[in-house]
Amino acid sequence: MSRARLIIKEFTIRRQGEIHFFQVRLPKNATHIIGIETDALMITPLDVSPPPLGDGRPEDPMPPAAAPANRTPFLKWNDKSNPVIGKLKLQSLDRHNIFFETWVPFVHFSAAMPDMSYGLFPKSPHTLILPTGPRTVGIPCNNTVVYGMYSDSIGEERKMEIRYKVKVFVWVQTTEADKGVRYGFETKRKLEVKL
Amino acid sequence: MSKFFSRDYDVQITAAAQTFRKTIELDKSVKAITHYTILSNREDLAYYRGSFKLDINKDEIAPDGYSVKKVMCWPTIPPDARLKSIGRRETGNGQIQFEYTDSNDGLTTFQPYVITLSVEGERED
Repeated sequence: MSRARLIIKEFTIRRQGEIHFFQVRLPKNATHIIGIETDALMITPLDVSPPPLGDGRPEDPMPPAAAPANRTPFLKWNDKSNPVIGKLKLQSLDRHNIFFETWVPFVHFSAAMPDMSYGLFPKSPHTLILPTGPRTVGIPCNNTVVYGMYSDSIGEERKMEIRYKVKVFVWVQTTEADKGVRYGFETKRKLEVKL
Repeated sequence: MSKFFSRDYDVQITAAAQTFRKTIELDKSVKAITHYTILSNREDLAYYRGSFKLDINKDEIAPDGYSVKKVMCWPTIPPDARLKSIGRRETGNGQIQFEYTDSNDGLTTFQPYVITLSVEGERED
């Protein structure tokens, strides 16, 4: 049995609407690209608007006359959404060309559901409620390079320069002996491209 | 017949934007590691700020920079699905090398917290 390895590519986006081209170097013994994962680390705070009243901060000494009353409902709905931060494309030098294309989300911790902490519903369907795994692709690779392109969309949308780090995780199958290591997602592979 | 083995190892994260290393010596009776996950007393800080590296018997299971959020999950998941499966890696020299890197981000403020590497495997008496 052959062993899966994980290659990590990391880059920082600094400008509004920045387009970043990059290469992912694969090991020479890689035979297949078996899965892709993405992640982001926000360096700029996402929420730049002032927080709502009644959050425990000292009050403004001169509040505006028309300041809204704090009417926090009993069930406080969490209005944080998971923004899409950009688009990622990966291109193989083999016949598959652009084999992976996705909108990269930034998923907040415990976001996308109301914070019903008393147990009516699970807290978040999008972050930690299911064990995560890579999106399987199953592309044979004869080259040791994958080209990638990432274009920023959150900066464009919010008309500001948002700094963040994007991580692309490329799982490859190599010719090494696996020594017993077989990752959980490998047994769940669904799509295999055969030539 | 091998027996079930499960153990947690804590790493204190005391400073922001630093790497913390821990070398774990397994007991000689532990023959293989089959699953692992990362837990924390401040899941939000681990989720937004954490990345790690994990070697078992000098074999790279997760390379440097792999995000902690990729191996975390809520306790609402059935316990047998909560840990990441890595097949069956024999422990060999009995060493697990764990490196955790905390990175500053724009959403959280650092406070000291604890990261726990939880492993499961097989042991023989």
